[in-house]
Amino acid sequence: MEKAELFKISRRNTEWLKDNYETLKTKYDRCWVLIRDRKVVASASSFDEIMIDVKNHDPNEILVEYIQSEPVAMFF
Amino acid sequence: MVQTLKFTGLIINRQPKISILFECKAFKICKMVDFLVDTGTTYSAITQKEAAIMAIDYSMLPYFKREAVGFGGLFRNRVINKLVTLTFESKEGNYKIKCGSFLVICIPPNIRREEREKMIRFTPNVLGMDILRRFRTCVDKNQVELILR
Repeated sequence: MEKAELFKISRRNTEWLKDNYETLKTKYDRCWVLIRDRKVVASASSFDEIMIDVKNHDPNEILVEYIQSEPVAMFF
Repeated sequence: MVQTLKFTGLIINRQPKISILFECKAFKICKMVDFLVDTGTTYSAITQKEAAIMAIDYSMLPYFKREAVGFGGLFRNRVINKLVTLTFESKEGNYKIKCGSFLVICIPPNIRREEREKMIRFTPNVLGMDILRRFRTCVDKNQVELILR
């Protein structure tokens, strides 16, 4: 896949995630989601479970995120 | 007139994130990775989660020689000891940074299954000061900008 295409796909998925984060918190609270082509194509309650689905997709076409409605305090 | 390159990321769930093309020819990897822009981090790193998605067997990687300290405690991270190229995209053009090696944040072995899951959930890929020092970093409510000095 061309690099320009990789940037384009990533931008599409990331912008979709940002625009739909609040809706996802309602529908997929405490779940891992696999986003492809601006939609959720799989969800799971653990990372090991979502990885089973991840292996069926091109890593460059997907976004894997954990969604949680309850805020978490993060310190790095 | 000197042209400045400006790379833009988004604020997602109150975190400034930027998408960068991560390439490691030795491992045949060419993948977009979302990094948290973190001026408090010394070394940039990808997570165990990201390595798993890239099909990197991180257990085969050597340990990073320095101990890593965070609010979660002390870690022994691993290192991709091969050339990694990061490509930043902007409307004006792309910018590449070559890294002689790259860290992988590893969750400590022998921890409880639930703790491991939580750490994978909330540990982000981080773009630290080893990379950010090249840019002027601006974060606002909706986006993050890295401006090439």
